[in-house]
Amino acid sequence: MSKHLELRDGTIPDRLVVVRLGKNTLNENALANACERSFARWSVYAFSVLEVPNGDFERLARLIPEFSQRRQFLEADGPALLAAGFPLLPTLKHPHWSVVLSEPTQSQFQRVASHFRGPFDNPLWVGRKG
Amino acid sequence: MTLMDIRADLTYDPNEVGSDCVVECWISQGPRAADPSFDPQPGDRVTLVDEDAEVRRGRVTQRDGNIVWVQVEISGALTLSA
Repeated sequence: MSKHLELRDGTIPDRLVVVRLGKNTLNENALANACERSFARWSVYAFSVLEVPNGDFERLARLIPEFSQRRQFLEADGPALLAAGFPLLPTLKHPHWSVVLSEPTQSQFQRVASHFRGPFDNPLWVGRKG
Repeated sequence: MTLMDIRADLTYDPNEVGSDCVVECWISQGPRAADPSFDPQPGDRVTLVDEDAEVRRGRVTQRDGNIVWVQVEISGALTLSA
């Protein structure tokens, strides 16, 4: 049963960079599963991304310990996603955002994935440290 | 090889792991979806796999039918500067 969709209060930052952890997490299977979970929860087709607060990856790692566990990530600009017709909703706790899709189709998955760059190596990956 | 072929109990999305390291997993989306003996309960240790085929371990914190919440183990101490 879906729940009420609660959005965080606050202003949208002027520069919003979001990351999608992993290098294969924008493939069709991952996005289809994410959309299925999101629709069951909130009745919205969406997938999760994380804001890089003021471009500070160390701060992101402190907020989300999982970030340092990931070898690579993908990156996109929030305004570009919005301009392409993919609303960004400030869901759950900061720095979590949901990228909304009109429908969970292969064409939509490919279109939204085209706005992400990478994968980039994570400078804070724990495996990088001796 | 697909994720369903990897020896793990559940799939997870690393982007949905919260600050408390808890993530929601669906049994129906995981490698053991067709295994009627798979019945994770709070406190059980489970393995998780994501789309990068990285297998992680965690402990079940909550279960509601098909949905399982797991606290994933974080390796390595965070030694980031303040």
